[in-house]
Amino acid sequence: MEDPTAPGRLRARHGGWLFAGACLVLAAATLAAVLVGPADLSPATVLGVLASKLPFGFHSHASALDAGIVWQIRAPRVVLAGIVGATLAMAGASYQGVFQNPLADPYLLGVAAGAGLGATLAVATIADPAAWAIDPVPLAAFLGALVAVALTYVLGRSGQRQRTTTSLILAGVAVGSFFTAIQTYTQQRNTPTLMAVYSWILGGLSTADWRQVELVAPYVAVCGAVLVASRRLLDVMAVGDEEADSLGVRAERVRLLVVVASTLATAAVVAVSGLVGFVGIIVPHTIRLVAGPTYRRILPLSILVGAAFLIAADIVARSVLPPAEVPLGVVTAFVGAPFFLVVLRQSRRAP
Amino acid sequence: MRVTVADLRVAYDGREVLSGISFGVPSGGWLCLIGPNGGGKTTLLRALCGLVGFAGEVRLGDELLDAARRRHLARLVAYVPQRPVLPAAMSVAEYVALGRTPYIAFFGTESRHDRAVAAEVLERLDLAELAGRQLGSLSGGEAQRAVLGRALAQQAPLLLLDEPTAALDVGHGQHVLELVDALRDERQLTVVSAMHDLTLAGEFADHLALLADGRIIAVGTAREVLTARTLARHYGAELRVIEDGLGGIVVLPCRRPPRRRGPDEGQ
Repeated sequence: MEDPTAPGRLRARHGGWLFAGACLVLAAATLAAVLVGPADLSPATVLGVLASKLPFGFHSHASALDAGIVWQIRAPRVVLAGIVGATLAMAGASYQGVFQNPLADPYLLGVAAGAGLGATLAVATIADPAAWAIDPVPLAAFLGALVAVALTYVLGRSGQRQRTTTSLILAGVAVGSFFTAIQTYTQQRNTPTLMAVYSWILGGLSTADWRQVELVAPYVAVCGAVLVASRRLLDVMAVGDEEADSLGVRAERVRLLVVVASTLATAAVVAVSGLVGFVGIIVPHTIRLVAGPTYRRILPLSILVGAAFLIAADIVARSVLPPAEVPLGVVTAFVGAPFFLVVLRQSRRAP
Repeated sequence: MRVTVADLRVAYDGREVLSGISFGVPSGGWLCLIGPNGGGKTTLLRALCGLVGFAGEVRLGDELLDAARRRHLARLVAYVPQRPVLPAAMSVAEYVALGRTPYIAFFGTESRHDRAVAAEVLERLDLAELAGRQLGSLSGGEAQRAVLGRALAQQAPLLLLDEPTAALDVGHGQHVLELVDALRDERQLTVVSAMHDLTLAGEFADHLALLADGRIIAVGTAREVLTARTLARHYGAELRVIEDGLGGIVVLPCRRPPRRRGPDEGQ
């Protein structure tokens, strides 16, 4: 039966084009990112090296050095930028869904402050990180982020019978401030490590390699699958906790699930990329404006466009001031802060 | 589906807001809760769909309400709150389809059947033309039909309505009640509603239950419950109860005679 009233049919007609467009943008950003770099490689060389990695038996004539630059330096960096951008955008969209707040971002419940404290403590207290089997800084950042969000979640309930989104957000603010205070104190007590901590906090992908990709990919894949699977639940959450409950969905449980999945994925990428801000707000919002309010579309599109956005931002980060790099977080904030204000003005005007 | 409530009690922070509530509604019946603000009507409706914890017994058909899992309960009871949350940018079709949630697996999406049910509901409530419209752009009457549509899409045999006409003018209010009445006939729905308009409550419901201070003061037909004395006492209002000669009862609020100041009063 032709179904004239399927949910979102009017917008659905454009759905396929939106996905095709997002894939195209992602492909363009990826291509540009592997072609651009301080080493003067011709497009043919770069594409030749990449093609030789595909299972078609193609052999590249590039030198070992050029092949190394493409495959060991540029490629993992582009892939990592894509993963980080996709994760932050997807986590931001999910947070906005479960908190019913258009300005919610993946750092809302203390991920950033927790990761910052973890990284600072690791930099300040571990004398010889090279002696560790794996780099202790990302590990500490990851654990710090998880601890901060867990604490927020526990504190968000105290004093009330139930967690409300407001009590959770306020607990996030408190935990964030507290962790930031300890972090700043630790940093001041260990001034020689200031630069290392500072550059980590500003975010960047200059140390990207395949190992980092392998470290974060499992978290991002599993959590991403959970979040994409929750897209209809996020639509249900739009009618508020009580009505969601009366429709048979335990809103509190959905919120916990989404917070856990988003936090794990965000903590994993923050551990390798540092604190890259605003992606989680800019990307889902732009998509919401174009594709409408349903998370069936916002979530998958956020993944594609988030990846493309951060890959493009990283091109800017490494090419405006060669040979130095602008911190990635500075690039996204430079674009993101004005955007944030635009969104704020719009959401005030909304009925 | 028959609804039976026996000695239901609800307490918030140790304070009892409902006590000793017992009544039954036969399958296909319509019970209307009336009573002053704060009397416990909304709390009772929320208890009947499992949104507030209670002591006592509520049976939906043969099933005990507290034994039912959330999802299963949402297939038995559809609840229309007084002020539903209407996400402004969501389309009417998307919103009505949310009513299928209790039939969709946790991580699933609508099946063909779910879409067919939602489409049938849109058609039945004359919402098909509005299917693509955003909720924020609807008039009060259209919005109320959309909310009713979401509840119908749940295909639950018990429909709970909290003040379904509160935001509507006389005409639209009447239309909504006529629609509920027609649907109850077609689909053998059992309806429990809370209403402030006593005349309409008496016209549409089979039985009325007057709730005040968390207790049922009177249950019965409109003729039994809508008496000037009972209403004046529990609403603290001056009301005229008039038989309209067509079998209906009209409740008219009227101005209290102003209290004259005696010569001793003054300062």
